[in-house]
Amino acid sequence: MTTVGSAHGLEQSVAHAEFVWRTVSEAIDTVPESDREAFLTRFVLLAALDHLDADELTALIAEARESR
Amino acid sequence: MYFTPRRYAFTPFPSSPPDAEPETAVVVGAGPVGLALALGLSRRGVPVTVLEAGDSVVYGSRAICLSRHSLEVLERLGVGEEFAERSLPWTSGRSFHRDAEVLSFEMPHVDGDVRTPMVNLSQSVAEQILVDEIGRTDSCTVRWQCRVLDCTEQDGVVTVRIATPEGQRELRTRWLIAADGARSTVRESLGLHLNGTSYEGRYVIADIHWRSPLPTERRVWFDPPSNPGSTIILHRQPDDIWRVDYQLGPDDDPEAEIAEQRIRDRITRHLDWLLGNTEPWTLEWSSLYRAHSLSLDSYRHGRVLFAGDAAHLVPIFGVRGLNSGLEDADTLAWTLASVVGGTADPALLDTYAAERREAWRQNVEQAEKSTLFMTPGTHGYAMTRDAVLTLAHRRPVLRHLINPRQSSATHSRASPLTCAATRDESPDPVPGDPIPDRAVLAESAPGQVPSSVNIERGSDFTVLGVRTAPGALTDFAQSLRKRLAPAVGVRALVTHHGNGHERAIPCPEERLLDDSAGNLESAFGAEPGEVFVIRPDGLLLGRFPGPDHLGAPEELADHILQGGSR
Ligand SMILES: Cc1cc2nc3c(=O)[nH]c(=O)nc-3n(C[C@H](O)[C@H](O)[C@H](O)COP(=O)(O)OP(=O)(O)OC[C@H]3O[C@@H](n4cnc5c(N)ncnc54)[C@H](O)[C@@H]3O)c2cc1C
Repeated sequence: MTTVGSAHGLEQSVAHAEFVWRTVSEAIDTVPESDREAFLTRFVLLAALDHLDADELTALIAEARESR
Repeated sequence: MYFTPRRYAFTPFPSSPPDAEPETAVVVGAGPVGLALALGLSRRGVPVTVLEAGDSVVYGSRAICLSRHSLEVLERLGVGEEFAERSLPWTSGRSFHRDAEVLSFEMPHVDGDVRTPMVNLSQSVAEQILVDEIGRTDSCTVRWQCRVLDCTEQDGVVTVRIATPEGQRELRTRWLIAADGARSTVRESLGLHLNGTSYEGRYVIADIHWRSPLPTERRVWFDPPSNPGSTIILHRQPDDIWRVDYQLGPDDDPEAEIAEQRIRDRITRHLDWLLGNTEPWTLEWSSLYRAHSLSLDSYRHGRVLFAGDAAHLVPIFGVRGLNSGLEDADTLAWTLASVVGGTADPALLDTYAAERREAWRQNVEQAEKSTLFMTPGTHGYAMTRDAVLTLAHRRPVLRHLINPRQSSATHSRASPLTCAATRDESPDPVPGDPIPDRAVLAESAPGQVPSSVNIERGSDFTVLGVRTAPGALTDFAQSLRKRLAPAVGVRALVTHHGNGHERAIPCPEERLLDDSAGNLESAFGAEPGEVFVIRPDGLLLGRFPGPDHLGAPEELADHILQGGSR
């Protein structure tokens, strides 16, 4: 979750959000269309393995599903 | 009623005789930037001729959103009141994804601001106001139906070849300013090219006449049920004119989409869905748009200077095109007038060129993000854009990606003119930043009059003392004025906190401003005794802890007139 404590904190969160948006967009564009879904699946698995515990992973899956 | 352009006749004139003194300054293009620059130069005593290929101002409004800073520039040109009267102010916007609101934003504004962050006015009306003002101004002429064919520079003179209804003419001038727009003939004639990025997405831009209860705010719909897959932007203009922009899909044929019936179908669907609209409307003007971030490498080539779209293009998302062109005009007017007047070294024009090139970079940095969001050109950007829109109501930080980052004034922090900050942790504005305008009460003989920092500055250099001792800035301002005259004036402003003591001491050189409410002091993050030197274009040249830190006025004058060397 994003927590915003100050103007500086907000600036940092926005900069991070921009970085995520642009990096992921450009990464998707570097893989052939036929590999796009598999690439995104690999990427999510890696991100989850390295950065999410079981509760976080379950919560994020639920959030993504509900946000459609 | 949509805009009806006034037509202007060609006024015959002879070619410049080869042995006569060349004209001082010729501006190519009576677009908003050329017109604003011509007015700015003539206000500073420089005679100007504007050459315009057409016989009227632009038809079809193009730019509609003018920033607070542009209004300040127009105020300095003497047309601020008319722009304020005729435009629609606004402060906020909303974005929707399908039929859900995902963003509601307010542009920065605080109590004590003199203007709203943005107003809407058609570019046609804006240009006509400027043309009318030029008509009332001495030594400033627009020559209509004069298409510049090319130009050459030799021995300090630029010769311009012009096609007129009565055949070709040649004008010789000391300085030529290319404000002839995106397809600049002057640029082409010098063999120069714009460099940068062009984006894939296309937008249809339409102005419609429609009576609607919707407020004056920016509204955007991503993937609306009325036109799935498209993005639609709606803006109110004065006189019941609405701007509707919508994105074409990658498979849409732009030629077919610009047909009147296609446009009518798309807009009808949207208005019906939005309001169950029953109010009839008329299509007044339409055009196709593609975004570009392109610039010349330099805006000065010998005696030819570039301004506005002739120098640089930015995507319309965030409305930076005309707004940045007016900044060009504002800075070029005082720098070129100083060079023409013989006080400044032409190096000051290199500083203009460098500052405005850097301003383009700042604009593009912001505009590029808005453009990637408004018209994602690749599958990757389209996928993430849709994901951001669906997640935005849960993750507030993502709403910042949807925010259009509306134009704000650019800074010149890295300019050689800007004096380095004297405090390690200088609060905003730092040297190079545009100063905030604030309401103040100015002391005058009959009593206090409501005013603002910008009204008091006018279009001069200003030395602003925050509660400095009476008379502390007088000698400095007088000496600086002597050196910068005649193109640029110098004013001294001093704030006080209304205890009457300061007012008792007559000090005619220093205009006293009552800032008892502390509006100005807090907007400038100022300490009592601090001194701010402000450029005519509203950028902060430097901030100094006290009058004693200003140094010699002659030194500062040399620094300015040599384009920055201190
Ligand atoms: C759809 C659209 C919406 C926009 N919205 C906004 C907005 O909301 N806010 C904003 O800030 N900007 C906006 N812009 C950008 C803005 O319109 C331009 O940045 C602005 O017009 C640039 O002004 P200019 O004077 O440099 O050039 P122009 O307006 O292009 O004027 C150039 C002039 O030079 C003349 N000319 C050209 N060639 C010659 C020649 N050879 N000889 C003599 N004369 C010549 C032309 O006839 C014209 O009058 C928008 C642009 C478009 C297309």
